[in-house]
Amino acid sequence: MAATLVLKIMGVLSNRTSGKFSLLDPLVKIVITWNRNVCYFCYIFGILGFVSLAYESVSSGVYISENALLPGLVHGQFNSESVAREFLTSIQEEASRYPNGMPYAWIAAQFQQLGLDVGTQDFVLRYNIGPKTNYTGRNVYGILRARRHSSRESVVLAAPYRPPNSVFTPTNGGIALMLAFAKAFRSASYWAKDIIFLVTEHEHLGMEAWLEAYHRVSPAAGLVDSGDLKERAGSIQAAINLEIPEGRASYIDVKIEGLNGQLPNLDLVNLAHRLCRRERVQSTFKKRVDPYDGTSLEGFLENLETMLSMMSSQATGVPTGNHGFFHRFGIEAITLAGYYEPGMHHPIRYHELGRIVEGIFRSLNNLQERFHQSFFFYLLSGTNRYISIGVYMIPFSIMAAPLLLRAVSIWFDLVQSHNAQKDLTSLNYDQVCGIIILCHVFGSCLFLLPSTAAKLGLSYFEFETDESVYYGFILASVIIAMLLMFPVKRIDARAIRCIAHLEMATLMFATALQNISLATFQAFIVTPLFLGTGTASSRKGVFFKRLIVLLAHPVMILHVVLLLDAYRTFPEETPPSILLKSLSAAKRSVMYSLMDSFVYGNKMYDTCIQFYLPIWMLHWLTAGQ
Amino acid sequence: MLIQLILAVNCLFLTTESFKPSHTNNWAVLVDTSRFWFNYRHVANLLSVYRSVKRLGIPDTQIILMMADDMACNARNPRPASVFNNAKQHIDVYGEEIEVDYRGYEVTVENFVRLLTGRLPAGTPKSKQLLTDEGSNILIYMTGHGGDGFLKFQDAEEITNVDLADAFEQMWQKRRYNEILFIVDTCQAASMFQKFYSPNILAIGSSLVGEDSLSHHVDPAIGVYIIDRYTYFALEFLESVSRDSDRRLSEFLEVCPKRHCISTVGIRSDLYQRDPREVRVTEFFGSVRPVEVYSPKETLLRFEKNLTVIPSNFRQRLTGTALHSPPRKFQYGNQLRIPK
Repeated sequence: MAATLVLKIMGVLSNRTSGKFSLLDPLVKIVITWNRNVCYFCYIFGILGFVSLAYESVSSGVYISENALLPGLVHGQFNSESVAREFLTSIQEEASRYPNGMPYAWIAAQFQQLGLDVGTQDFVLRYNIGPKTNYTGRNVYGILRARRHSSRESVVLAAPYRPPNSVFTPTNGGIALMLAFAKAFRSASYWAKDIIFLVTEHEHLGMEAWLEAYHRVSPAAGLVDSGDLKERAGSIQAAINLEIPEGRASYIDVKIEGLNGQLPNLDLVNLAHRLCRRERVQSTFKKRVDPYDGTSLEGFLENLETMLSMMSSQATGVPTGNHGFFHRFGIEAITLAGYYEPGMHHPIRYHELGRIVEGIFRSLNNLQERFHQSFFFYLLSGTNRYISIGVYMIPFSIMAAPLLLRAVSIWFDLVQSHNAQKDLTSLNYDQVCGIIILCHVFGSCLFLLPSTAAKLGLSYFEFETDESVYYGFILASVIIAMLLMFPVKRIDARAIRCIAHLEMATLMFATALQNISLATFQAFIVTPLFLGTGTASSRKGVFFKRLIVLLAHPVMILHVVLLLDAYRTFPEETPPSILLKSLSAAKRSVMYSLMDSFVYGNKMYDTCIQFYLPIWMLHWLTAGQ
Repeated sequence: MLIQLILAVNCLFLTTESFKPSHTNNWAVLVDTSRFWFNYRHVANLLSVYRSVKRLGIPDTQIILMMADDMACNARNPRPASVFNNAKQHIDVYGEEIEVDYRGYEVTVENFVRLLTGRLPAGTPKSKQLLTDEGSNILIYMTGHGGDGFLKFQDAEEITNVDLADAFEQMWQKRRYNEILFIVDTCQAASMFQKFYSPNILAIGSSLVGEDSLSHHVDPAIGVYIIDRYTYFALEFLESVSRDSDRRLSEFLEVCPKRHCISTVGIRSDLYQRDPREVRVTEFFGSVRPVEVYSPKETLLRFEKNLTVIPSNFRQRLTGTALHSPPRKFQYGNQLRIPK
């Protein structure tokens, strides 16, 4: 859109070939001279605006939008505290017999005894990079059929199974709650939707495999062979994932971030918080409690920290729980995680947990349609404050505008100099287009890199797959950077830079529609770095500009971010050990990002290689020229 | 024994008291314009009025009940086959004897207007027709979701106050009613009767324009709001009315003051020609009509050998007697037990 606007204005300007300038000439002069200051102003103003979103007057209080939900109106009937505790003891006993696996048969037998329709699903993950290993697993699920209604719609209650030797906290409490819930409500006559009780294996992989089999699609590269499911229950309307270690908790954390930064409908999140409040249970967001006084300075800072915490987890595109894989099927889902901190009197017991889950399901039962009333795009600065897309887009756009404004200014400048010079050294369109296409081709070729690097690394250096991919990337980046250091004519460089700015702005705005946190961090990091690559006078200047662009390389950004994250997670360690930790994390992270993209469809790696790297290459090439 | 024959004669007026009922039959049109489980309270409103109206004497043949009827057998109903209007669940207003005339997706604006104006296609069953005449008093009760100047029908369409006013005018031109008591229990209810221009309509709305009508209480066992405020207090009043009550319409108009209803009850009485203080509640809610009783000079019929013998000049003697006898003291028959 900016490009067409620019072309239109350019068309107006370039009609005057006689040398007389058009009426727009003063405007053009203003744009060119003031551009630098306007860019600074926009960038800083955008940052301040974004920070101010956490302020109570700017964010809004949450409310339930969907009238049909009627949250908390019905009296809870869950009274099976002792039943749940018995289930918990049996699960723990059974789990101790399989320290590394899942007691499939036992769980299936429990579902069977409760009278549910039981199904199991075997899935296989076939790695296509490095040594060709296969990774198998099995999910078990039971369906409670609604008595007086046809099985057209359903809701899911899920829990990931974690064996005793797993590094994650166990979830046996959630599974026990699931079984107790099924036992208590299997004879209820008021269910209008089927309830699917799902126990998955291997964390994210199991859930993704189950959903792919249920919907008979393969959103990612098809590495997972999910088989088919025999028992089905119509279209799934909503899902609740439970991560509760034992039968007690101090607070319930509601996790919302999904794959590629997709979020569940705000109504479902508010429903969970409201039902927790009804049962006098502390509910948190990002494990943070709401500030006592949101209008004070401390309150504002706490809200800001919560918002930044949400943005940092949303930006990675990695879901914070198994719920994250439901969102792209149009199924709203959240995770309820219970954390127990000793020393708290009156911890939450199965009674309250059961009532909360029951309340959520009774409200979901009332729904006639999928969630559609409340927001799908929002930021939360607390459990009860939200910022909608209409509000957060404004500071983001102001922050991302400098790239567009600089592109416009460069174009005006080019046209002016084109009009002014009689003996013009015209733009070499072929070279410009050729360079742009070349950089994008480099980007696409990098898709072939990981498998080649893994093969070579294994055969020659005996590296692990993740190490060989990491070193391969660094090597490839260095080679490409050195290839792209050839000199380019000033006017061509400026045209290329203009196009590169436009591309980057397009990428940021397009990302903002899907994952605002990622787009904001892109704008925050990349805008000053790319805008600093203007024409330099001396060779030292060119070197300096190239250094600035180097800071914007994805691998460099990755290292810096991991360093900061290591410092935040281990503040007590010495700087060298933090550095070492971040380096080892960086090695693994490239591989994780790759596998995330292949197995789950996380777009971070794809966008980076396909779009961001070529743009970076264009900036690197034209830095200082 | 004063009488041997009782005859109902059209359009005869009592001359004794100031109380002058002017109708000969009673009809009720009860409409619930909403559907879905969370609108349970609208169905409870409607059925409570239905039960009151039946109790006070209007038979099912003269009640047109229009509702989506998706409550009692809704899968979400923890008390299947029943609809309650109170959290204590004393009365099942759905019950076992209910005749819903327009159910489900038949409750549309077109059907409603056709019902009122009588322009139904040939072959429509009699139970779906409003067979009123110029001596009918009609109680029209509507509940659901409304706004400023419209009523929402089943989440798909709306009827505007202009359409409704025109429908009533058509009824007046075709002499399809004697008087109408129009009650509407929705948000901004008063906007629905702002445009009326036909005579003999008394209109009551549960809230004024710009106000919302509120629900009364929640039934935590069923998990829905169970009844609206205006109807709750109207029912409280109607419970004190029986077939032979002397309660006046003016008392009914004062039901649900602002401290109970929170919204303000709106009334339009400029089109109504009688004084509500002189109109009995049962003239609209019940089936109480003026009945003329006269005792003929001679017995017209004989009873011989277990048969009633009708003489050949029966008709002539009958009319003759009616014409030439001096004015008798008219009184209500025994069945109604109204004190003299």
